[in-house]
Parts: sequence; structure tokens; C-alpha cells
Amino acid sequence: MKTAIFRGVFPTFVGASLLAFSASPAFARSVSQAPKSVPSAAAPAPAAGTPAPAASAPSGPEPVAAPANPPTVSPIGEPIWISEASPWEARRLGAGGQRPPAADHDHAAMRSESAAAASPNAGTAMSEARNAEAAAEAMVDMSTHSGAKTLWLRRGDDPATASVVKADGQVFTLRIVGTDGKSWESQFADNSKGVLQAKVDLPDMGFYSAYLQSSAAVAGVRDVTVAKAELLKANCCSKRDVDLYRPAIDDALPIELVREHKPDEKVMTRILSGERAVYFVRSFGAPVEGAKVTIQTQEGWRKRAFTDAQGRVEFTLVRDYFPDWSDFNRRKTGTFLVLAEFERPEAGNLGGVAYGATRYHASMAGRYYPAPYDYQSYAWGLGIVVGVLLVGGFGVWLYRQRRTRAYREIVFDERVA
Amino acid sequence: MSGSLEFPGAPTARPLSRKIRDAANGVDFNRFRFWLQVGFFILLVYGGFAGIDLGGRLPTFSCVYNGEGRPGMCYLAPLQHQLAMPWQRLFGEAGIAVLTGFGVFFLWFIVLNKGWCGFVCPLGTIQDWITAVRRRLGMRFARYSDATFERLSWIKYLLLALMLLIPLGIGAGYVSHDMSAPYCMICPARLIVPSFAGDFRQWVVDFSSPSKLALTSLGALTTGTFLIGSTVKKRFWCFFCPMSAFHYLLSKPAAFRLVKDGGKCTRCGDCYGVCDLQIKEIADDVKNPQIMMDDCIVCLKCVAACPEDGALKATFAGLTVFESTEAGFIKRMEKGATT
Amino acid sequence: MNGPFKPAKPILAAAAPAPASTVVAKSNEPLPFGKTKQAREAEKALNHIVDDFDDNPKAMAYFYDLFRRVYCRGESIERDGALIGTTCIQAPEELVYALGATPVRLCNGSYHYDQIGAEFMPAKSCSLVKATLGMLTSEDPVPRIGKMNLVVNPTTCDQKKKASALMQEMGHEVFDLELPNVKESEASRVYWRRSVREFAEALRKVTGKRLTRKNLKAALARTQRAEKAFRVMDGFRKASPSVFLGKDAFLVVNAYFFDDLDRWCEAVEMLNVELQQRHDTAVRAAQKKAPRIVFTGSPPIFPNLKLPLLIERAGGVVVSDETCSANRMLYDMTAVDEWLVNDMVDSLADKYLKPCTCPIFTKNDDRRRRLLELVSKFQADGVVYQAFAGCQVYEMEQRSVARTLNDAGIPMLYVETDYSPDDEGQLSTRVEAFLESIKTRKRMRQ
Repeated sequence: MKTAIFRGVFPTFVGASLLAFSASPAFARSVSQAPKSVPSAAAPAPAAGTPAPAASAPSGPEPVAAPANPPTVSPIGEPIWISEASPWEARRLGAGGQRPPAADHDHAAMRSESAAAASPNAGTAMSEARNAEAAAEAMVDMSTHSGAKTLWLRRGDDPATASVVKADGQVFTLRIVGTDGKSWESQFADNSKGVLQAKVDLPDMGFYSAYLQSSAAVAGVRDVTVAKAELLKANCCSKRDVDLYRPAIDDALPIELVREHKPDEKVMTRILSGERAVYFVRSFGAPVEGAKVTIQTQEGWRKRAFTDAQGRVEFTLVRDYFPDWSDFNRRKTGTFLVLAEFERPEAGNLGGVAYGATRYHASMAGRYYPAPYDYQSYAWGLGIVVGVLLVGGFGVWLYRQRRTRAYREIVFDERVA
Repeated sequence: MSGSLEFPGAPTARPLSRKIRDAANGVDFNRFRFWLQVGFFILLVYGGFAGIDLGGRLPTFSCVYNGEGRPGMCYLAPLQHQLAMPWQRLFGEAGIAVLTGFGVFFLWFIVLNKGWCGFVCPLGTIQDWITAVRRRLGMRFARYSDATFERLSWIKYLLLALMLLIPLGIGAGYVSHDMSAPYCMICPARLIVPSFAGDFRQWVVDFSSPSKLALTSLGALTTGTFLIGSTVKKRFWCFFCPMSAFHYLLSKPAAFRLVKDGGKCTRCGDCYGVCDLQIKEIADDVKNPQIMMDDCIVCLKCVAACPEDGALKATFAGLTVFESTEAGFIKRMEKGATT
Repeated sequence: MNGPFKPAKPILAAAAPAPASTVVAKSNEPLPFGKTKQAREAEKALNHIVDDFDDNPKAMAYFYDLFRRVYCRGESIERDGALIGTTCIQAPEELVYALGATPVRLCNGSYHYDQIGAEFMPAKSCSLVKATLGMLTSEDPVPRIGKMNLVVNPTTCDQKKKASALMQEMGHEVFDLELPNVKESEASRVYWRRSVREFAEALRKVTGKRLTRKNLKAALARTQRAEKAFRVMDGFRKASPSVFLGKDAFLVVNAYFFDDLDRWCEAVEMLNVELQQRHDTAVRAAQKKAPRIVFTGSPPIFPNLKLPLLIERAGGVVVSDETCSANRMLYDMTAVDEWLVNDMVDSLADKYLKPCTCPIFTKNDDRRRRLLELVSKFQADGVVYQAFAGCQVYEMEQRSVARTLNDAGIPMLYVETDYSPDDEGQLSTRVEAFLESIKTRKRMRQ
């Protein structure tokens, strides 16, 4: 009878519901709708059209397409860096990672800014919190699935308190380089909410690096800043091709921070608390020795180190996430900022201002997550399995012992009536 | 004389096709099946190291969590992930992907029907190995009584329903994301199959959230139960497996079938006696030729144990691949009794 | 163990005194057995079996000789180990062999003992039960199997069930083997498995030995050999025209009741070789147009092969049968999954219960399907259904079997008879008429 129900009714029901859904207007609408257009990487600035010559002279003209009078982005002393986290999320994370109450959520902002449509319609107030949390997590987690990335500029060396750079009519060029060497440009422009934002569309799977360069000469010193963001397009089902997960590097830059990828780096590879983060500082493709590299986490831990002969520096990230168990979020994203700088005695003239030395700054943000050791227990896992084996084994033995002695009786139920 | 027995003085002039057929039907079935299972086990647990990629729609437990070694993924994991997508996407632009994924899975499945369970599934093979160890130790096996059998046989459908509904609940926002891939979390293959490739990371209990804690504890519990159960009951987990239920619901158009000729059946019950899953219908039902039941794993032990010519057959697209013969039966039982 | 046939164990020729109740001796000295009426009954039957037909297979000489020695001359057959008598085929003989004992089937076909049994059994009783009890009550019965350590009596039909108490009164040690009357239910399967296990326990007490994997496997191998030899022999009857006659087949399996197992296997294997040669050289035992008959019902047991002989003397050939003295004794084979004692014993139990088509069960679906299958497999033209007068179960099943065969267009002859030779004339007429009608049908079809 069971057979008849399932074999006949179930497939019919499944087929019918699938047909109904595919015939539904919602489905048809979404299929015919073109995806939201993302601004292409075509660089508008005319002077910015010419890509930099790969030939590198240490003390030559500025590399990369920068207008003769590059707009100054940062006052000296305050580094700028590129962030994939939206201002809303920055606020959320900056508040120490506590779950904000429902009223603080800006669903409209989330929906319009997030490239991957993460949040479903929030039905009830009860599910709002859940939706927001899920959506925020989805934004972070699922951002690798889509190639459409949105970037913001932040100013300040403390990831917790760094402010978002507002737009003031200026446009900055963002250059994106892939692992195959191909590059194109995008722009940081006003996103109509007063904040500088750049949209990038990654074509293929793999890592890309986005660079924002700026130079300024103040008080006889030229500051050259390269802000970098490492972008990834991949999904869980993509091939495990090792090549796919190489970092993208541009050897034409005067300073570059490169994160060393793990040998088994994949789409879900994360830097965990307690692990090493290894960085290289390079200049025009060559390692830089003695560069000062500072890492600071959003919780306030800061460490400084100097690169060795290979330009390599290594940090071990601290564990800094100790919430109550009921508040524990294993996907808690922490942001850390890596800043590198070194100085060279290059003299010259920039925009009418003479300088006698050049300081190179590089910035790159990264994310770190709680270590599994904080919440995963082998002891418990093995303990439960062994416990079940022992109890089960003993139970089976006992059952068999009792069965050899007496017949199983038919017992009548003594219920009244 | 069909299926004629060998005896001294018998002439051996038979056509080649007949010889092939007789050789196939008289095969040492247990040994054949053992080596086939070993081969598939190596493929499905270590194939990834050789770079084999069969896609993510396999109808057998090529466990996802065995990241390095798997030559493709068990379909249940991608299915649960897909169903957990937000409904707007699932019934919208992602719907086509889900349907094509299901289509690929279906195409894989109908080739072997539930033979994927009996010959290919690594978890099934592990259970058969545990059974072999039990036999060596001289421990007798356990049987369910009829009443218990009836009561327990619904569990696999329940697990199948939960496996499909919980991810849908995640997509709708009613269920926490930590409940994703709920069946994978309780499947014993998640802990055991990667261990064969040296990956013991799944043997943890995850305290990071209540859902994760519950699911991983449950997973450890089912693994322990699996180990004990497989020791005393042949193919213990297959009785509760939602993949088995899923297969059965789709099995009507499959190419590989188990067919019974009721007229030839003497109801001797030999097939029921050797059946790992204790399926009664294989012995008792003499009317229905399509005799593959929902618990059947198409291991074909019944065909090998049937002494009547042509009573049970395994057919592929109508062609008989393996059938019960008197000669084959006698050969196999003689071997068993004299070794 | 294939090889030229060698006479194995020596057979002690003992001249035993004749049972006192049989014959009125001329003097006060008892006659030698060979001259008694009982022996003559057996001899007459054997002569018909051998002489009424030309060209018996040479290998059958072993069996003819065996019956002549045991039934006509009253020679006893020595055995090893304990002797366990069985009254029905459901008693698992593999267990007996495993414990080093010898089973012997007590069912008797002698009219002589039938008359003895009639003295204390009700008038309308089954001849077979009367004969068996008559034999058991006698001082020195033939076949001379010797003193039994245990008699196993499966609780099958009413008369066998009640015979249990009678046998105990006679001084035999009887074990009631509880066979369920319903075979479809789970409860009956469990019950029967337990019965078989209790039987194994009883055997252990009698023989002093325990079942082990090794001895049970060896016993299974021996009976497997017998079952295989039987199946091969039976297979020759499928040929049309048949290579082998039913009367010989019955005799061969009747020999299984009491003959040494390994020697019997050897003899049948020799027979099979010869039958294969006959098959290849197109030597046929029956005429091409001889009506092919499936014999079913109450078991013909030597010397009461009356009805099969009638059929074959009248020109028919019994190509197959569904009786417990022939086909059903050896046809079903045991399938074992795990060669451990517990599983082997359970598999054995299942083999004796599940395919059993004895009419003592409530439903007879399996028997009817089996008959249809046999008719089709052996290309039979008709069925002869023998029921012993007084056998309630076979008589009651006649209706449903007749209906099934009728629906399938298979002619059936129903014969109610007993061990007495008085109705041979009448039966012969009916059988000949039946065979004639079959021939006519075949001609009409062509």
C-alpha cells in the first residue's frame, strides 16, 4: 500500500509542482529580466587611458595612468585602504561585532547595494533579525560566488574606527589586474549617497588585485600610496585547479603587498585566528628588504615587523574573540589591515613641489575568522561515537543473553475498557 | 536441456553464446561482487587523487566531505545546498539549474537502478566488510521481526522528507542557516568515508551554535549506531537511507531491473533467507514480475541463491544479464559447503 | 566420489525368522522369510517392475538387486551411529547426518503390514499409516533396519499425529516434531525454526554429539550431492520421448529411504551416466506417442507402486511426480547465506517448510502452481491424482486441484485406492481409458 502511495502519487505531485512553478509569472519574469547592469571597467578619464609601460625606472615618472595633477586622496599620515565591506557593515563590524537590534538594519540599503541578492522578503519582525544576519553573512560568504564586486575607500589605520571616504566631486581610478596579466580600469565615484564607491565585474574564476594609486608631495617628501584589494571570484563547485588560486600581482608597481596563499588555497580558504598570515613586499617585481609592515586587527591588536631579504614578513593572528557562548558566531568576520612602507632617496618634482625623498606606502585589508579549535571538539565527537558503541554493544549482548533463556511472550495490554 | 548440470560423461558441445551465459549464471557470485565493490570503493573514495571528476550528481555516497579523494559528489549534498537557496532565486533564475541537476542525476541513476546501492556505494561496501568481520568471528546476525520491520520501514521516507523540507525552510528564512545539509550532518558516511582518505576533521562536535551542536552530536550518534548496527544486522543503514527511498520513487523507468517469474517459483524462501534487507516479497509475491521493493539494494544475492531456472532475473534494458539457474545454484552451494 | 561403481559396505545376509503372525506354517517351524507371503508380495511387485518392460537401464540393476535383497530375502542393512526413524519428509535429515547418526524413513508400502495395522486402526484409515504402524508393531519387520534410538514424528496429518502415541505404546522413543499447519505466516516460520532447533537438541541428547560448523557443513555437502544427483536424473525425464521411466524413478527414490547415502549417490551418478549415453544415442524408454503423465497425491511406496506401474504398462509414461516418496523428498535444495551453525540450521528449517506442498497445510496455492509448472516443464499431457482411501487431506484437495487443472485445460484422472491388490482390474480399465482419451485429444489437436 505504501508502495502505491509513493510510487504513484509522489512523482506526480513533484512533477505538478515543478510545472506550476515554472509556469508561474514570477519565474517567467525573473528569467526574462536582464541582470542589473554593473558599470563596466571602461575607464572614462582620457589621460588615464594609457596603461603604464612595464619598463620600470625606480625614480622615473609616475607609473600607471594618473593625471598630471593627481587628486590628493589622503592627508599624510592617514593611510587609505580599499574595503569590500559596505558602510553599513563597517558600522556593524566596527561596533565590536555585536548583533545590532533590528531597528538599525537598513534593508533598502542592503538590497540596493548588495550585488548578490541575498535577502528574501522579510515577513515578520521576528524573522527580520534572522534575515539580516543571514543576509549579512550571505553577503560576506556568497560574495565570492558572484563576479560583481563593490568597493569602498576607508581612511585611517584602525579598521574599527576608519571612516569611509566621502565623495567630493573627485573621481579616482581603480586598476584591476588578473592572474593572467590582463588589466582594466574602473573608478571610485560618488554613489549618489555621498560616498565613494567603485563597482568591478570579474570575468573569470580566480583571484584579482585592484589597485588605487596616488601621489602627493608635501614638505619635501613625496608620498606614493598603493591601496590594494584582493578580490576573488569562485564558487564551491569550481575546479580545484591550483593555478586558479594564485595571487594576482602587478610587477609594474613601485610598492605592492602580496599575501602568500596557502598551498591548498581554495575558495573557502580563510585566515583563522591563531594562524600565520604571510606577506611579501615587492617593488617593481623585486623583493624589498627592511620594509616596515604593520598589522592591526579591528579589536585593537597591532604588531609591527620588518621584511627579510626575501621581502617576507610573517604574523600570527591573535585570538581575540571571546563572547558568551550564546552569542558565538563562528562566521564572525574580523577585519585586519596590513600597512607597509619604506623610503627611498628619490628626488624630483611633483606638480611644482620639489621633493628630496620618496616614501612608499601600501595598504591591504584582510578578513580573519574564529579558529575551529574554539568551537569544535574532537574529544566530544569521538566520545559520543565510542559511547554509543559501548552502550550499543552492551545492549546487544544483554539482549542476546536474555533471549537464550526465555521465549518472547505475547503480552496482553491490561488497559481497562 | 537448459541449465544442464555437469556430470561425468556429459558432452560439452554447446554454442558460444550459451557457454557465456552459463558461465555468467554459474559465476562465484560472492567473489565477483566482492571485487566489484572493492573496485568501486577505490574509485569513489580515492578517485579524486587521480584527478577523476564525474560531476556533482552521483546517485551514490561519493561523500562531499572527502574533499580530496572524491571523484565527484553525492547528489544529496548539492541538492540540499540548492534547495536552501532563497526562494526567490530557487523558484526563479536558479530553478533551471536545479532541474538540470536533477536531470543529470536521474540519467546516472536509471542506468543501474538501485544497483548503485548494492554494488557501488562505498558505505554499503563498508557495511559488507563489517559483516564479513562478524562472520569471521562466528557471531550470528540479527533479524527484525515482521512487526518491527513494518514500523521501521517508514523511517527512510521520513528522512527523505526532512532532507528536502529543512533546506526549503532555510531558503524561506524559517530555519537557521546552520541547519544546512541536514542529512549530510547525520549521515554516517560523513564521518567514515573521509576517514578512509585520512581526513578525520568530521569527527568533531561543533559547539558554535545550538543547531550545529545538535546536528553534529546527532551525526556522531548515528555513526556509533551505524557501527553497532552494521555489526549485527546486514546492511543496517540501507534500511534507513533516504537515498534508497529517493531511488525507489524514481525507479519505474530504470534500465536495470529485477524480474521474477512467479510460475517458476516454488516459494522455497531461499531468496528471502539470503536477503540482507529481509524483503519478504521476493519470496512470497508470485504475481508481480517487477519484484524490486523499496528496500531492495539489487545486490542480486537472491538471484544467486534461487535454485529454479529462470525464476529470478536481472535484466538490463530487457536483456537478461544474470539469471537464477539450477546449475549455478548447485555450484555455489557446493562451494560453500565444501570450503 | 565419481568413479566406477564398487560394492561398498558388506551386506550381512541374515536369515531371519519370519514374523509369527503372517503365515500359518505347515509345521511348527517358521518359514524362511523369502518364502513368506510378505516376501512374495514384494517379489511380485519387483518382477513387474523389472520384467514388464524391455531394456531397463543397466545401472538400475543396483536398485533391483537392493530391493530384492532387502525386501525379498530380508537381509538387514548395517548402519553407523544412532538410528533415527522418521515418519515424514519434514524431519531435517541433515541434522541427523551431522551428528553421526543415520536417518531411515519408516513409511511403508506393504499390504502385509497394512492388514496388520488394520487390526488396531479404525477401518477408514490411510493405508500408509496402517502399514507403517503395522510394521512398527511387528517383532522383526522388513526392511530389517534394526533397533531405533529415536522415532521422529512430524505433526503433519491427523493420522500421523495420533500415531505418535501409538508408537510410544509400542515401546519406541518418539519425538514429536512440531510442524505448523499454516506456512505463510511469520509466526509459523519462527515456530518451525524453533521446532527444528529443539529437534537438534533432542538429537544431541540421543547421540551425545554437538552440532558444529564442520559437521553440519559436511552433512549439507552429502545431501547436496544426493539432491544434485536426483535433479540430474529427473532432468532426463524432460526429454520427449522420455529416456527413463517413472517406475524406475520411484524405485530409485524409494531406495533413498533406507540405503546408505553415499552408496546411493554413487549408484545414481552411475545411472545418470548411462542415461546420458542413452539420451545421446536416442535410446528411448517409451513410445513417441506415449501419453506423458504427472503423478500426484498419496505417495506410492515399494512394493505399492501399483498405480504408476499400471500407467506405464498401459503405454503411458510417468514423467514427473508431486509425491513425498519421490520428487518432494529430494527436489528442494538448501540455500545458505552464512555458513555458521545458526544460519545453516535456519536455512534448513526454511527449506523443509516453505516450499513444502504437502496437503496438510491450510492453503494449497503452492501445490497447484507446482503442478502447473511441472506439467509445463515436462510437457505432460495429463495428471493422475492418487488419493488413499481415508486420506482426508488429499481427498479434500482434489476439488481445487481439479479446478485449477481444468482451467488450464489439463486432463486429470482422480483415483481413490488403497494397498489392496483387489482393485487392480478396475483401475487398469480406468487408466487405459484415461490414456486413450489423452491420445485422442492429441490426435485431434494435430
